[in-house]
Amino acid sequence: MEVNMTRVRPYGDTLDDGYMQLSFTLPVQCNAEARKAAELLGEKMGLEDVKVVYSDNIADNFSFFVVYGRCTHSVDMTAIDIPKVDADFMSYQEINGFIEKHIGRKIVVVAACTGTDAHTVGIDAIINMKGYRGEYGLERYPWFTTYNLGSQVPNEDLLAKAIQVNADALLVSQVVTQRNIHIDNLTHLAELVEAEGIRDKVLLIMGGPRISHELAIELGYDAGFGPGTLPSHVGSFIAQALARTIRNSKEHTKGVYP
Amino acid sequence: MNQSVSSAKIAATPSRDDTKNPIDMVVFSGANNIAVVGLAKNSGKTVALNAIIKQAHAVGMRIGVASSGRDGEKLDAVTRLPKPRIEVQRGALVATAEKLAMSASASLEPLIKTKHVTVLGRLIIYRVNSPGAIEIASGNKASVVKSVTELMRHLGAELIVIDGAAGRRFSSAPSLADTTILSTGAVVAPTLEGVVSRTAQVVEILTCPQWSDPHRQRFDPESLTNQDVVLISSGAMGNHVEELKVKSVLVSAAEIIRQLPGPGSTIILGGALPGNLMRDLAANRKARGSTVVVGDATRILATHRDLSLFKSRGGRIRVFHKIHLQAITTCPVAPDGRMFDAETLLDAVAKAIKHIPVVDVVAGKTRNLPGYHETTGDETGGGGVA
Repeated sequence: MEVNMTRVRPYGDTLDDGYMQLSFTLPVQCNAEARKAAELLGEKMGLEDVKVVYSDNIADNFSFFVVYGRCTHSVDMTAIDIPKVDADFMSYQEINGFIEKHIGRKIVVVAACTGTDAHTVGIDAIINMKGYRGEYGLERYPWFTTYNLGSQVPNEDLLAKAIQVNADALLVSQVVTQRNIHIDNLTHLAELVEAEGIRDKVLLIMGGPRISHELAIELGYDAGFGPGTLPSHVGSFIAQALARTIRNSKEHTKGVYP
Repeated sequence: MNQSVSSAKIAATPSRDDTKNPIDMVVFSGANNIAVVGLAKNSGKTVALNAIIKQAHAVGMRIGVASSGRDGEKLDAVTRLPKPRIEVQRGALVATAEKLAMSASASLEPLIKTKHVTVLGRLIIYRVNSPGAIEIASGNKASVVKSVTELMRHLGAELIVIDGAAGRRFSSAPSLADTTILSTGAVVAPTLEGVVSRTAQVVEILTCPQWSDPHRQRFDPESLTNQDVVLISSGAMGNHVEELKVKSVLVSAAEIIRQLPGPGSTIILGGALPGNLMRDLAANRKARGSTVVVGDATRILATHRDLSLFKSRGGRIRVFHKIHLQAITTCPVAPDGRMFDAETLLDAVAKAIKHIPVVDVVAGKTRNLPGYHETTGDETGGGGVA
């Protein structure tokens, strides 16, 4: 099967047939007119040969539809360029070995769910001893010292702790993203770190289900981790980024450029 | 823009016709580094930036472009809606990551490979050889942005523009930029009143007045770090100055307040001014009528509410270096499709913030131009022509 990466289309029964299925609710009673409306909606969305394969009332004046149709669009995947966290992902053993060799001391990480956010499941998966999906959390790593401050931590408290323990990295978890509240919150933390004059000393890392590395870069963070991230991903990034900073600051003193 | 302008070398105050729009006026203002910052993402920073780049090119000025975030990308990182590209002209200098330069439609010639390696790769200073669109990211830290703008200056940039990152305002610090443009718009709040009041609050913080006390000469604000706190009290036996070493004001607020000699003292902070300090000072009798001094307004990270609480107890906030806010831009459209009438928004913002020119770059309309508005006499109303 030869996929044309410049014209990728949905796969239904055969390559490039474009067939796809979608489901949605309309705020009307389920009847013949409603089914026609669902079909027309599919056509407006760029589908051909639209079939309403399932429809039913789910409540008074609400109907649910499953629609099947042929998508007329394709995407050029060779033109997609998504910034990704720049790190070679290593295992638990490799990360500890790397830190011992290249940094020679324990890495200090302070983590929290900040602002009004109380959803600690993400940050706990990355930091806490028991970890996530068969991997230990950073707390278990002999070459990491971690502080998990928990939920609803004000940015000021997170940074105060980081300063107290000379943290190398700040991990911020943001799960609640309604009305983009996470952006204001993350922006404030970054501004606070800069205003304290310690931006050069800490790695700023954000994570959460709606977080992308792209957003992290835009807000001036060093990395952003989205869904599916494992503790070793974050650990690899911190270890390598810190080693790079140390290496650069050595080069810096040698005076590479004017 | 105006043909007669491009041939003349710009030095003195331009004629009124050439300065209808303060964004254009910025180019003539004698500014070296202009920071374009916003109240939020999608508030119109890149549109303002493009207007400055275009005007500078029209008058033959060599421009340098930097971004403290990532700008000129095709789609918004959050809304996935199309964003304005950054359009650069021949002769301009840009500081961006190598990877982003490769996908630019402008043709670029690398001049200097900097020592800075960002999350997007090494930063390189390029000269634009043929005009086009480009994505710019010049480092996510003040130290890096400062370094690359200085390099562009060495390479001959006459006017440097630094695009802001989302709602971040650190690039407007006087150590990075001598002139600031603030963008606001419908994205800031659901109602017109909300947009106006939030904008006015940010302007109030950004334009925080300078500390003019005779003691000022004694201090070199650049040498103060977040571990430095200075307490000055005036008593019967003259002034008493006490220099404290703390972990940070974030850690040691209680200790600082304990050391406060009494009401009416001055507290100099080498780092940030956080909200909890404002609340703690407001709650303490010993801190009544005190003055808190920070390096510049970008260090003020307390909310307007916390600042107001402190001020209501007789407190004052001052800065070592004042930010010169040259103009405010308004954008009537929000990415979710909400829209205000452009002129209504412009008028409302201009009415609330009388001392600063307000411009709708797209509509080409301006309010509060110096010399045009009736209410004069404000110390910050000079625009930049003077």
